Amino acid sequence: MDDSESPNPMHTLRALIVNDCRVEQAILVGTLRALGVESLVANNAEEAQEIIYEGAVVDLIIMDKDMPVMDDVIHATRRLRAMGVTAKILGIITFYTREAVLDFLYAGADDVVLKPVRIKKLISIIEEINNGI
Amino acid sequence: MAAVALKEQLASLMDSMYQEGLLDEQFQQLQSLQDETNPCFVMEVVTLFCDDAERIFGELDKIMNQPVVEFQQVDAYIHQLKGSSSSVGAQNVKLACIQFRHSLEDNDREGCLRALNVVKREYLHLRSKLETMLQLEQRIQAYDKQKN
Repeated sequence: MDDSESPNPMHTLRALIVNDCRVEQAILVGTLRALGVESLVANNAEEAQEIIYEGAVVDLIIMDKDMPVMDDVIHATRRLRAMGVTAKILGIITFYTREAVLDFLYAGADDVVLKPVRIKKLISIIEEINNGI
Repeated sequence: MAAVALKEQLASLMDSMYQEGLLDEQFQQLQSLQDETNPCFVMEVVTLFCDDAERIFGELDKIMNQPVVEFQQVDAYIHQLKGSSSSVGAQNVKLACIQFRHSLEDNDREGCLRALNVVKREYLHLRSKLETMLQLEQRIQAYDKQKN
């Protein structure tokens, strides 16, 4: 299954938030809602893969590396790309290390940012999606 | 006029919270997302943050009271709290968590207990101010509704 029809044909962008912290989930959902983006939430990398495998079409995936099993997030990113997922993937890390950034990028993320995610960054990503970049 | 006075009180409270370092620009970002379509966004996030912080403190108290302290678990919980406080803009709580994680390097129970008390103190101070902030906001909203 893939989401090669992205962007969402109804032109309401949809995001998948992969994060196990309820506070951070609420902030991302609220921020994206204010920017006109609907959100699905997964509490871990496995749930995220299940959501996509079951046919959810998303334009943006926000992956937090800072979850109990960190490597799962990198593996999940790799697997989603292998499944044909073409949504923008934004990786979020807590500590900047070159290795953490490269791990995410080599796995298929489009960009990697330090937590907390700023509105300006989300706006620029949404613009890229809308412009088909 | 009462609404004006309340708004001034709220503005003054917010200024002092930012100046004191209780909050940072991330909280401003959250406030900017609150509008008529999402009037309770800040309250919802603050409530979630406080519930989560208190859950974490409960878990940490249990761990610290064990005969043998699992410092890795302590680190994991403080890391969670650092993440949520960073996302909410709770600057001093975040900084206290960072300091706590440094003190964990020594695997010293007494040092950890002291650091934990600092984090709790910062959190309780912030919570008290946030409660006042939310009360003021609710009163202002009630006045604005009456006016309309």
